[in-house]
Amino acid sequence: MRRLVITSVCAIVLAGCATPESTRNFKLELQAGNIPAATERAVKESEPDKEGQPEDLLWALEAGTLLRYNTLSERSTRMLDGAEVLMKDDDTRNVLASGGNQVAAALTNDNALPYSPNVYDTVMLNTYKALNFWQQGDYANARVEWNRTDDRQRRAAEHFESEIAKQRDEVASSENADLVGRSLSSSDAVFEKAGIDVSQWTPYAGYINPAALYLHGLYFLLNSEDKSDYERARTSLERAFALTNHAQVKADLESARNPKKLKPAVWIVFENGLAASKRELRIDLPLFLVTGAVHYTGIALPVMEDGSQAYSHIAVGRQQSQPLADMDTIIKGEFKTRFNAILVREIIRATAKTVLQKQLNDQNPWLGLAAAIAQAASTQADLRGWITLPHDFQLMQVPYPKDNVLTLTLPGTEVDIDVPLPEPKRPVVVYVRAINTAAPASIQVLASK
Amino acid sequence: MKIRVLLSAVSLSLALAGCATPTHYVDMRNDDVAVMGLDYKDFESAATELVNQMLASPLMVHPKSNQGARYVLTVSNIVNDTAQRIDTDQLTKKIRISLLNSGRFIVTTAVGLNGPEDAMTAKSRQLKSSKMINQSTVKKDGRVIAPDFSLSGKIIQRNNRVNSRTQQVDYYFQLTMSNLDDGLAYWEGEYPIVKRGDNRTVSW
Repeated sequence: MRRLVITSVCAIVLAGCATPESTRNFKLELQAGNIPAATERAVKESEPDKEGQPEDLLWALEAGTLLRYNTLSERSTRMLDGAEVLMKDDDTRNVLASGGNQVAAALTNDNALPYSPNVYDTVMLNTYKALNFWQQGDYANARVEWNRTDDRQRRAAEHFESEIAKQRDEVASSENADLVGRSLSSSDAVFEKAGIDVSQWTPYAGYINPAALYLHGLYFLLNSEDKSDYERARTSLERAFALTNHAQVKADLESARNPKKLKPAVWIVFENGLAASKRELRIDLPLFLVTGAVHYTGIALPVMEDGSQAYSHIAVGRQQSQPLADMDTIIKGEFKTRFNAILVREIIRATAKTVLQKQLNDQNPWLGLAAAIAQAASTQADLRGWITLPHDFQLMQVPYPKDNVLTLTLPGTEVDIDVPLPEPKRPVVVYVRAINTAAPASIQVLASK
Repeated sequence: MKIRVLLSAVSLSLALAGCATPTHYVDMRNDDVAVMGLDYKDFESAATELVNQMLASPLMVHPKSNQGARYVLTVSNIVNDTAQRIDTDQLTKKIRISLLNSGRFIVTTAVGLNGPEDAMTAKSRQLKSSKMINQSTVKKDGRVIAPDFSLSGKIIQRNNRVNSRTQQVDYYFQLTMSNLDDGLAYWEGEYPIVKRGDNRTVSW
């Protein structure tokens, strides 16, 4: 009986083990700017089967992002398609069938449960796939992915409707106090006259990704097939402007409202840095110092740590990019909504483990010690997250260069980057992704039809 | 005791393993399983309905139809504006087959919006310069028939939430037949399909 208990405790401890070495090595490779090694690791860890369908959701997302960074758009899309299937599995998971995992998680920590994607993960997944198709010039499939991104945003708004309603109430109650101070700038007055109420979208701030909204609107502005596409662009750009107040977004919104053939120009979208990630906050109580009944108890909780920018901005000549959207706000906002449940689960878990430890200690002091060690080892926070998401998005527009070569400058680097643009001049988007200063920036040209 | 536990564990795992879905053929005439996306049943019903409307339209009757004359049709741009990765040919092929079988329409594969559907018609004319080919069998110039009508359209999807557990997906199949002579839409049709299902996950 005793042997059974000891071996089962050991087995449970091994099952609940924490930040695996692969994640630590992955982060080191990213920090060092060794993107090829990081990509290979992510692809391997996603455990693709014979048909290329990955088994691990989080690694599939990382692999998809890095394959995209290397402009391997088709492979990236296939990996992200696989990730989407896993997300669907997670949505439709039968709780009873996953009983084994739940029991393991109740006895050890949340790492025993499969990764449950955040809402912002789902929106970025389809956004990345849409950008992949746009880069390849596959406009039919890009449209499908943008429609999916739009639906994901709608579901995100529904998911957070209680939080958004609270923010809406706050805005309404503070409106009276603010009315005097809120001076209508001339641009807002233009929208007010046209009957566009941008303020109705401000309660969505922090829960809806403005960059995904803007890119959706920009795609349909540049590649519209008919009037309904301009309408779609207008809706997205309106919301994006309400959430970001960016001058370029306003200009694009005006183009969408008065559609005519756009002059060739270059939109530069800069996906900057690495997103906020979690670190562990442990509270360990060495109870053996005060009592003989229980040796140890403790909890471990995840807390959000700020992400890091790669560069402060990107420049073309003397013009600099302006911030468009901050991923950290969205990530931290969603984390806040999940934190209470995490805390409650951890407290229940710690209590149950401590009670079990005391009972084992009453039977046999050696068992109690073993249980204390097992509890200490299995108390781990769930630090999983999509780390290769960007810290922020920035945007600027420049006129089409006469010699069809765009010269980008990143602050702190001496070498300028020359980007060749397509010959028949037309509106293009130059998409720049910089993870950190150690890795070279990835640049893609998204041409309009 | 131990053996009993072991045996029951083994039999349980075997039982669970046997729960995989076996492969089988689907009887397409008696299939009432619905999916949130677009499947063959949806394209079938949309194509049938739209073709019936086309054939019933008085404007789509060739003035010399009782002498066997047919309208020549080309397929223009059909936009997939849904969140499903479908091929719009899944819809247009069925429509083309039905129109051909009705005896009143015929589709040209030599003229299309983004180039011919079958480039062989144009390529076979290049055989004129080949010494190997029997020139009397090479097809002559000036014989390919230009289209009278162009078929274009859109498949639209709209998602709505019914309640926390149910979502509704509306699909609209919209088609237009434009007369290439005067540029007017001689026939327009729309066919909606509405589905309701689980809101836990996305509809694609």
